[in-house]
Amino acid sequence: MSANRDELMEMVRDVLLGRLKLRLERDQIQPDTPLFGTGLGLDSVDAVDLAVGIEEGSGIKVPEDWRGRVALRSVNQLVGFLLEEGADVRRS
Amino acid sequence: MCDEAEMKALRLGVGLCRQNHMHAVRITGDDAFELLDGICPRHLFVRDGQMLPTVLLHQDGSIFADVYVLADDLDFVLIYEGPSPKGMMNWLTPKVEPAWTIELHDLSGSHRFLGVHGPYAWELLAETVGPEVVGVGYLRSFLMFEEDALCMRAGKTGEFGYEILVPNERAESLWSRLCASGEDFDAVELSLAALDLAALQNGFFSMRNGVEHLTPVELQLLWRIAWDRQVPGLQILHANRQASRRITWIQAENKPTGEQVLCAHRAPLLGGWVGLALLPVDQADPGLAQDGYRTVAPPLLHNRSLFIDSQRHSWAGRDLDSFPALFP
Repeated sequence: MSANRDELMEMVRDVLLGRLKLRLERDQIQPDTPLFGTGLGLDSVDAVDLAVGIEEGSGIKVPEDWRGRVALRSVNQLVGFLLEEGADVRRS
Repeated sequence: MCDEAEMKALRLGVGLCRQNHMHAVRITGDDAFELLDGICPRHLFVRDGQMLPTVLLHQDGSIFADVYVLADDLDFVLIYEGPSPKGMMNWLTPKVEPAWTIELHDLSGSHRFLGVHGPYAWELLAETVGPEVVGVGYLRSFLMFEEDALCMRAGKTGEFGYEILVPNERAESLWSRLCASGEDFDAVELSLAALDLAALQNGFFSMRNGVEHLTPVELQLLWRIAWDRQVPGLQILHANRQASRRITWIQAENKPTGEQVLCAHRAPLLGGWVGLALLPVDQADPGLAQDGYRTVAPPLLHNRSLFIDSQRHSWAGRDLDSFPALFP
């Protein structure tokens, strides 16, 4: 059964805080926060870590082509991509 | 309002801009860091040549200025939008402790900002200044020795952007050189309206969007602060940490209106209107239809700059390159 937006948002936050260990509090990762460049300031190494964490958390692989770049522009863009793919949230 | 030619240049080529909306203060002396540490709501982890985006807060937690803190050798340069230079100096000066070794240099009378923005901005600037431009990372600066100017790779359009702080006496000659190089790129002079529309489409914060009364919580700018800092304005933010409303980007066929709409701009390339609304949190997710508009998640386009590689692409070869469509 596909997860809803709130569930996917929390899963993305879990990956950013747990796997990438961003030094932020949970509420600082707001829906339209940019992931790369400005915003959270992730780099290319973080991108790989993030993609792996998302795949582990949802079963959905972030594409390696331009669609992946678009999906990773902000938290909301990533959640929107996961919703379109019918992602579910895997609980460990 | 900006026109289609400006937006085409900005999104597909290069635009040049006299950026009179930006100002700077150079802060020198052993206690320069002390001053900034006492006013910035973000931890000042910034190395020489690096820029840190943050905000300056009023006592009530709303935003006084949209700033970058740039570390420049032993000095700091505060680059800001929002208050006037007089307003900024009146705000900063009382915060200097009498015992400090520090000087505040208002650069608004001696310097100005010029901008180069667009997917091929790096190429135009490299042609004007030298190839070292290409290797400069985002939110990094370098000195343009010939002009005694500080060039910062920044910008808020979602494209490659360079903002150049240049002494007034060198500004016109640099502008002329940029325009001369720009002829090879069909470069267009950009208005502030074009920069503002591009920033809005890309989800960047701007003080000119009717948001002066809002806090970083409502503006989705909590990444620009740190909750464990002790600066004026943050305590009130702590008390109002649970947002009941937040800003949301909106699109509409016709100009959106209503008390929740903060700003709206006609979008020449995209068509229709784009804007910002302040909505209850449970109505602020993207993809919802409101009264005359729909909520969306920025960026609202596939910026060409996201796909440009300076090692493989060039303005001259653009017709041979293929990229994803600009608008999804």
